[in-house]
Amino acid sequence: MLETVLLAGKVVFLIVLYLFIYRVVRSATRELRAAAPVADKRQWSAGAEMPAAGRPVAAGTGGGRPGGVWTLVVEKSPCLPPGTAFAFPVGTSALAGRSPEADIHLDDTFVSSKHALFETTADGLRLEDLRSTNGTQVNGVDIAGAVVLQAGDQVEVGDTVFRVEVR
Amino acid sequence: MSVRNRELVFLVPALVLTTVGFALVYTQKATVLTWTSLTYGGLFIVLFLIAHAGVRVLASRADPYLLPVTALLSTLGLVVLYRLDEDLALKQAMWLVVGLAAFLLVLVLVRDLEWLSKYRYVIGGLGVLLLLLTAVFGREIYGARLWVRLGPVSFQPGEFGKILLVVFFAAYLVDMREVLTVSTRRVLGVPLPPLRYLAPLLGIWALSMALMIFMKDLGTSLLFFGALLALLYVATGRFFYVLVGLVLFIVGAVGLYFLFPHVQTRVDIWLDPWADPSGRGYQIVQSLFALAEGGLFGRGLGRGYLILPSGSTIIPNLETDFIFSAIGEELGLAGAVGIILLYLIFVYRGCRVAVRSRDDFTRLLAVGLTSIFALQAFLIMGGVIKLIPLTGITLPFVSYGGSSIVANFALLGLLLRASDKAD
Repeated sequence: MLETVLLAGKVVFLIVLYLFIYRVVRSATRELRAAAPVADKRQWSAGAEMPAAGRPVAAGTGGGRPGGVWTLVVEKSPCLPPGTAFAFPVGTSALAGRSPEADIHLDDTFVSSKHALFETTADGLRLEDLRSTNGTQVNGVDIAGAVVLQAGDQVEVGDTVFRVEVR
Repeated sequence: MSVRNRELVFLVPALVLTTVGFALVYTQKATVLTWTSLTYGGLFIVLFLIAHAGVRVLASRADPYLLPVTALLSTLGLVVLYRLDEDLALKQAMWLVVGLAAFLLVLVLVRDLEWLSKYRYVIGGLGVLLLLLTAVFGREIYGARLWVRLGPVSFQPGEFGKILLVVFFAAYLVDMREVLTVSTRRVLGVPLPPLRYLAPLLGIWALSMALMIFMKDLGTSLLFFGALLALLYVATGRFFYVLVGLVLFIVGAVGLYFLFPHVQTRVDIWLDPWADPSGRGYQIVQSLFALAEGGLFGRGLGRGYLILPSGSTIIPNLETDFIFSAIGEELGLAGAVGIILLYLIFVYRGCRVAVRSRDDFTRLLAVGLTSIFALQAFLIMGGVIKLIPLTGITLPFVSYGGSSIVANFALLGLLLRASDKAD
């Protein structure tokens, strides 16, 4: 009798221990799964259905749409020639980062591999910091999450400074 | 479910295990145990509920799993200690009271981590001072100089020193990371930073070597070196530092092996404990016997051959360094793997705090604290199962030992503060 009770006690002990572990691990995997779709959306691939975006264009040319096209112009950079322009026709987005796959490839140690995402929205050009190590600054102020840019804003990603223009 | 309610729910298994564990040990050994000793389990449950209430007030957004995992580890330790010696369990329960007080004190005092970063040099100096204190006033026990007697209380300053040094080093690296990341030249395709920036790495190496030479404390010296190397790697993202660190480690290890008979013995025992199974290899051999005896599911709490008729434990230092073997014998592979999984969960949550941190200091602090914790658990569990040479350190939260319990609760407090800031 006592033997059975002790055995049952041991089994209960181990089951409770593993049940705890299982519940914590399950909530962790849920958390990771919940985060995954966001990561997919952020991951920019050239084959996506969105129009090719953020490709450098000759300064001064643009979509010619009334109101103009949102454009990022390099003011100062350790890796891109000043004056390089990235145009954002409606419905486009571009990833800025150190990764060679990034649309705006910045070969700079202070830039994270996926550093920030620029995309056009109904309100204008939206900038989102993708939890980069050194952050993204707009007019010298660190942004938390996402902001909508205004023409004339200065965006800093690592040591590169962009000016926002409507062309 | 809110974060804190989740914490409360996850504390329930710890409370159940305490009850079941104490009941099992008591049933098994009713002839030698007293009724009052059952109250230690009750004391334990109340303690963690108080800690939970404290976190609700002081760090309401902190990670919900760290405290329950700690409670589970402490519970396993307490149950095994209760099984070994009821007086030891009472003392451990007292240390848990002090530890949880230290935990809440850290949460009260350190409302803002910036404050730690600001006083980095004071904190670093204090850390070094604690270690010096051990080197000068320490008493040698089991070949290592770890203990300092202060009036009636003996404690291990190294346990606290290591946390202070991690805080200091995290703050220091926040300033230094930019210069440490800059490369000026390449050698064989490896970008090299200016040599003088290797100074911090060489500094830690020198400190670890000094610890080893003056205190013969192999475990703490390995902990320092490993944790600070992890910090350096996370701060700079340069594998180069890890490489240099490993080279320095190998140079140091080989040098110490030939210089110190103490280290030589440890390595020889590790390579072949069966050469002298009743002498130098006794501890490890008995630990392996205990693990083998436990099998898959263990002999059951209170049923292992842990205590000699004379009242002393078969394995010397069973309640501190070798508590993992006791768990392996009584709860089997299932229990031992459970412990390892609990440590992994702790480390995973710690890394998650680091990833979610918004500023560099918080991130590095979380990485540093998690690394010393993980390394400590790995070094001692690896030691008792003969995976690596044995270094006499405690199994965090499980082993008997005041300094270790209090220091690890302080570490938990800092980690929860960092987590509260990150989320």
